[in-house]
Amino acid sequence: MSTPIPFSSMSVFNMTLYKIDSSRPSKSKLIAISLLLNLLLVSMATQAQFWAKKDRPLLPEDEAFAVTATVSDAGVLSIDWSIADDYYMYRDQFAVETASPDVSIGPLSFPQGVIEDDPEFGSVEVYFFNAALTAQIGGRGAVELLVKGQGCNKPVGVCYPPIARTIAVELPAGLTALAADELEPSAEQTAEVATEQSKTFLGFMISAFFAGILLSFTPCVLPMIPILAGIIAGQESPSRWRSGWLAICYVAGTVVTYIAAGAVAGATGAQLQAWFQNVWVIGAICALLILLALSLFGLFRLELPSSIQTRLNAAGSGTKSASISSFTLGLISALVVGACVSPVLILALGTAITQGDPVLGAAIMGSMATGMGLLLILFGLGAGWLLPRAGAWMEHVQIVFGFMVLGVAIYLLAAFPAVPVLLLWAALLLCSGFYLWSLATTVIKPLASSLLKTAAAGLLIWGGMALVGGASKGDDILQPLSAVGFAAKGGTNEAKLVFNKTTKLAQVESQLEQAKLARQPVMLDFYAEWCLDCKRMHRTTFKSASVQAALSDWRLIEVDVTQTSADSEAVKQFFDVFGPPATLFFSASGQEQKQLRQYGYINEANFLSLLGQVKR
Amino acid sequence: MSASTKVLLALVAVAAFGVGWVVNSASIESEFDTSTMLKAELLEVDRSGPDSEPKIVPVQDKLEKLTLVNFWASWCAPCREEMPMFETMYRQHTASGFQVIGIAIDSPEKTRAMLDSMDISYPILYAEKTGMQIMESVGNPNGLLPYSLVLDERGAVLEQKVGTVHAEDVNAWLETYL
Repeated sequence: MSTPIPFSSMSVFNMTLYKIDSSRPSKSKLIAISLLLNLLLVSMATQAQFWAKKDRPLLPEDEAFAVTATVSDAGVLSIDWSIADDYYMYRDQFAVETASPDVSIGPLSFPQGVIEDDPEFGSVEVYFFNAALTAQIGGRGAVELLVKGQGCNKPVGVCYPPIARTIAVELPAGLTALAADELEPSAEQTAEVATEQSKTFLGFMISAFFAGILLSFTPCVLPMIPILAGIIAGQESPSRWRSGWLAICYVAGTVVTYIAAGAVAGATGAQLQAWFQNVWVIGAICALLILLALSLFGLFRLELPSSIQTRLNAAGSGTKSASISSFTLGLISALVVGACVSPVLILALGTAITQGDPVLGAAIMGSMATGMGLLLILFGLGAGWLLPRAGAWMEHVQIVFGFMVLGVAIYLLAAFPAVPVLLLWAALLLCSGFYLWSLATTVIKPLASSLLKTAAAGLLIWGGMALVGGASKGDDILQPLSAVGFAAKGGTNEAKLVFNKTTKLAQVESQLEQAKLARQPVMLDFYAEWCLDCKRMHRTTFKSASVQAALSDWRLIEVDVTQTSADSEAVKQFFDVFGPPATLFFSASGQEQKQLRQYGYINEANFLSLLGQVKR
Repeated sequence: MSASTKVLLALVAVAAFGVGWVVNSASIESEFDTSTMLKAELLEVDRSGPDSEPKIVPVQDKLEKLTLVNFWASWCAPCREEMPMFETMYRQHTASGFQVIGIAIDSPEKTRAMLDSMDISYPILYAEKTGMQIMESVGNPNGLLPYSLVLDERGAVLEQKVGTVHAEDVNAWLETYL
């Protein structure tokens, strides 16, 4: 065999053609075999190339779209996108963000792009080859920018997923933060969204107002009635309008406090609810509540310090002093009510925070406070002719309200594990029970007397149970004996739920992914050390044996947002949650059941019913 | 060159092409294990009624004799361009077993207006972010859109296409496989 079988396809063809031309039939078999093998190789090589070509012309994302960012000494941020031939990017999808709170970036300005017709969305502006974007930037130091964009390949008609790249830049010294007007988008852009915003603006206000009305029927707001009654009763034979006016002053006080809170929340995005649930703030509010209760018990009268009162009296008419003390009490009461209704407050403040608009924040909170005050104003208008005749029984009502105020204080104190909550409840229930019993013996009407006695007996029994429960370290006033029962059944059998605790979005995502693969449903909750209701849920709902049984095959993820950081903000933004307590449920196939999402405390029964609704 | 040599050459060429084809298509098929995609349970929103309940369905429940799976998103202009054509083809050939499944790397809220304006009636499933992982498992690691696959009734891949699919492509597939 003189002819070796060549492997390079080019030479094969030359050789074989030569062989064929030489027309030596004796070697035709050999030629055929070599042809077959070579054609096979060529054919495979070209077909492989043909298949590979389908992917090869498309560049990797970072080669198709490259981006750099620089900051000039004058504080101009330049973002330069270089776009490969045949590729383009959309103007609408460009964005730049930063997580650092000290750095502010103005609106992007764009060069003139190319108008492309989109069959669905009309004309869109796109950029080929490059796009140089600029924006004002303020702040100092090293900054991480998140630069976003999205683009496509024109000839193939294929789009790349949205791009988000982190670029570090060093801001030159001497840049100051941008003024508010530099951060605003240009006038025309604002006008476009203005009409739509005014609609939602009104919507927010109306829903906040009705939420306020509903809140006024909770035990948090009801104790405010006797405070107001106290002010009105302090007046000598007030007219209906006079007492109505005092009620309005009082409500105005609460409204002012909430407007201030809403405006601060909207402007700073600060987690004000953290304040409402801070140890010292709760402590101060509880002290205030106890004072309030004592005054309701008739130990002293709540009034402005006499020095201020005399000054006011000297300055003008005496009636002014009552209006102002009513207003001041309103200012303070707002804090008390705020601590008590914190879950709803968190919702309202959260809306203000996510909107990032101080005016809207103030409007939402103001409407809610007005709604809460409506009942009080009506009471004030009615009290003018109701109170003089009320006389003696009003005193008893005040004392009952005093017990309710103490109850609110104990409810708030339950946030601290060190407090023997159940013993406090026991004391309160027993005292109020004895009080009602003694009251019942003085009542002449037999029906009223026996009704009061029944109520008193109920309170005494409940108080007794709480006392027993408290002695065995229980802490749930609705189930005072749960701890006792446990001890009898299983000794120290403290079943605990295992939470996958995290602070990072990536970890949450991988947990969710794992759960999805394992076809496990997921409960994801947002927790913070300063979150009263989160702690209450851990102490009550998550301790319940039936909840623990129901959650046994679930994956539990807990995001700790105690510290506000870029991480915590990223997680909250991802799930569109504004803060704890928030509880999210995911089906076994990994879909969030958005309609089941809860903000605020969830008790055992509601929690179990929510679990039942999650798709498996 | 004798006649028999010519015939031999022609046969060799055909055989070589055939072998090359088989080798390549085998290697293509082995790249795609479609089971991840087929078993993925995605949200389906019935857009025919205003208050119909969304449900979760595995992709494989939607397979017909010949199925075109099209990955898309609202931010992808080429996707929007090809979808009305899919709709036309779907309506014409659904009776003979042609199915189109649109898998959206998107949320129902963001796509509703767009789908309504296009009057899409073939099933749309919502994969949102998990769609990227599904695409990765079926040969599109970079998440490019649109991405289309043609599947047989068992869910094996017959064709794949990154980028815009044209009416001629679909016609050719229908002719070959249906």
